[in-house]
Amino acid sequence: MPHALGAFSSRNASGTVEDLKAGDVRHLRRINFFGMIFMRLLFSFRCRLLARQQVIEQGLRLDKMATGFGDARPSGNPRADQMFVPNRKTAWFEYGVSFATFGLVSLLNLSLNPWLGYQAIALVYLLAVVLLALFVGRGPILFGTALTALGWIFLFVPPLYSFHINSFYDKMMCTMYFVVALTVAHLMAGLRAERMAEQNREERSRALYLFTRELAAAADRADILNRVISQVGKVFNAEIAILLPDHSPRENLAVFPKGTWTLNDSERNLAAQVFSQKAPIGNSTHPPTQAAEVYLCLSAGGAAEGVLAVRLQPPAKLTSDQAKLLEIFARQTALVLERQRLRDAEINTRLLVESERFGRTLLNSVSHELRTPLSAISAAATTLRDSGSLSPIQERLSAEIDAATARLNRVVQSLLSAARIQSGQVRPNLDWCDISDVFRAALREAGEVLLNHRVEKCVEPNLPLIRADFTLLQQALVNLLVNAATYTPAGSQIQVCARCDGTEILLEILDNGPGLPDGQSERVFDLFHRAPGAKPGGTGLGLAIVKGFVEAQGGRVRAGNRPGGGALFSIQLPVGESPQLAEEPA
Amino acid sequence: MNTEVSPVALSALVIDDETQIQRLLTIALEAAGYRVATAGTGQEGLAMIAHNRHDVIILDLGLPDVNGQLVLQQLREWTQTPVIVLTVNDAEAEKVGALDAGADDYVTKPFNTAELLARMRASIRRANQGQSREPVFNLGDLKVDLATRRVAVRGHPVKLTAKEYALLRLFILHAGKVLTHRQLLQEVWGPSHQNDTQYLRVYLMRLREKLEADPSAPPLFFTEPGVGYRLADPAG
Repeated sequence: MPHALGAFSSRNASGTVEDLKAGDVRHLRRINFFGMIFMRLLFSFRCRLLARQQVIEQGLRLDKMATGFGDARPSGNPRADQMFVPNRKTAWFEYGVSFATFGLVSLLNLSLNPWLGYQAIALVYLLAVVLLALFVGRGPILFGTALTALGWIFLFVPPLYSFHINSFYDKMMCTMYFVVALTVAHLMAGLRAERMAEQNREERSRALYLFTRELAAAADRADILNRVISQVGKVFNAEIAILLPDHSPRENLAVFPKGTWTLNDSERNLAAQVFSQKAPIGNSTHPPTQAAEVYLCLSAGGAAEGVLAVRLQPPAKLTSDQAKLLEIFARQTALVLERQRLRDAEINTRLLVESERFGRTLLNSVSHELRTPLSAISAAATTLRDSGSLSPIQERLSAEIDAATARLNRVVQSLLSAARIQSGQVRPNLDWCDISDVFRAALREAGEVLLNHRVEKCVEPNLPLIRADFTLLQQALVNLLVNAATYTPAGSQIQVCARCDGTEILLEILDNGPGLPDGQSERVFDLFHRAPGAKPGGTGLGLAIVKGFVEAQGGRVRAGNRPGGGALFSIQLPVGESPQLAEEPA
Repeated sequence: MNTEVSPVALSALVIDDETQIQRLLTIALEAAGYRVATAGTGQEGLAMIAHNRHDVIILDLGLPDVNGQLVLQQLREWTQTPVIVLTVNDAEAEKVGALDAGADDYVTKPFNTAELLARMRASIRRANQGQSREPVFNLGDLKVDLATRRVAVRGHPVKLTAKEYALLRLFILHAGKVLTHRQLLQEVWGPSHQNDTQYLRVYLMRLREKLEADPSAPPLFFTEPGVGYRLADPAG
């Protein structure tokens, strides 16, 4: 025995099959019969280990040639894929083997009996027990020991066919048989258990190794998840589902579509529970929910990345080894997902910064290129007019140039504003604003456009100061005023009102024009939208800019028709806290 | 006396990288009686300011070589020549930066030359006026005696609080000039309040209530959106 173990362990590290064979021959010359048998058996076990190791090495080589692990794995050995498939039949099968061995050896012994004599028969039984111990567990071997002992007494020890033993010598033989058989069985069972444990450990680390390699090779998130599903599915022979949080809100879980297990509603609820509590549910760790189903929260210490749901096929409970391995798999998956998520976030941020920079550069250069010639035209026209020597016709033409320049400038301004809104570059500079002051500035800027209209101001006195962007709000009001002036007949009245209801300030522009066509009140704020039948002129930008600028500072816009005719546009802005003001002594 | 009959032409320096704007401003300013020099870059402009005396400088803030604000800071280290900056409409921060760095006024592109010339005249006048000024300030219906601190609208005395008067006085000292929120707050309320715009909003509301009693009269205070306030120019 020590010989055998020594040979096994010393060669475990670096030997090849051929080495071991040569070594065996030398050993066989020296060791006794039992030792020889052990060596032979251990050798065959060692060969299996080596064969497996070679498979792994071969797999590595193939993998370097850009072949997936799945392809590199030998197809003939299903247990190489499914290492931890539990087998409840094993125990009964082993008892059966014990019994069959006993039966066969008894038959053999009955035929050998005339030549050997009943005492040598005990040795044949002993040999059978020892050999059996290499293949079956502790229980079956004890069972086999008892069977053979009783069988020997009953069938061979005189008086035959009875459990009675006459001579002292036979009694001693019988006792010694028991002691030797039990000792050998016990030792062999321990050896076997150790062997199994080592095999398990190796298989586990190999599975983990393959798993991490698979994940490391994944290109993106979907690829990671696909590989997790196929790997975990193979290793545990199970159906897999992965649930991932939606981007917002993170509490909602979405099922990854490539999973092999289609969850029903109650199963999804279980998964959601696992996700929110960050604790696994399953038949190995917590009170079983449904046999053979395990839900693991994919968490690497930080935020939960999702839920891994595993259902063993055929239904079985996870052993503690399997549960441990599955947990390690889940943690690995979570780590990789977390890394991927952070990397994605970083890439997104970089892209955003890039595109913002690009947008800003483009806006700046377009703005400069359009405004410079406009400035030149405008400056030239005014200089021409101010030179004082123009004929009446020239005078009128110069005024036309002025008006056209102003209009073109408004268009450029609108386009730039719309571009800023579209590219998300409107950054409101919130500061305390006096609404009546904003109105005053807006009316002043819209001045020329409103020349042909009667403007009536009804601004409630003592409106509270609100935090808003003065220029954006002013521009929004100017656009509404220009809009009203454009779509109502000359000479009609435009009312500009402001009032406060405590939580909101309401700014309204009311006109006496034809109002909005039916069903247009929602769409007028769309970019480039023109109401059907609208008179030519206008870019379809003005109201979209109003909406963009107002919403950028937390307000809302609304359009509608007045009960008495005419259109109504309103801007609602929240009234926050009042500003801190240290009053001076009167 | 002699200078009033045939005034020595004022000199203006235009710093702008666009040759078309340079040409047009040269024509327009020469038509208005200025001697005009032009520079295409900030460095060139600074060199010309150092070598020749100018009465007014027109500075484009979008120069290719140096930030216009930097040019302003550098030239303000040795000269108080009025500077009018050319800027674009939606660049409030740029305008505020330029004004805080010492610009006298700004004109938004596309500008009309009449407006530019008016601003130039006002800036030159304020620069020449220096510290000496009449103790009594008249603007429309408003009459303020800076010596006795008496304020009256259409002859009726108006009672102002100390801060209201301090603010009004600051506006009067810079009548016609844009004052940024920061400048106003720092002067009247002190450096610790230079971001508390709410004071300005409230006090402007009160000053307007008390001094702009007649809604049909032209306003006294102009809001420059996102930048600051300006008191109407009594001479313009």
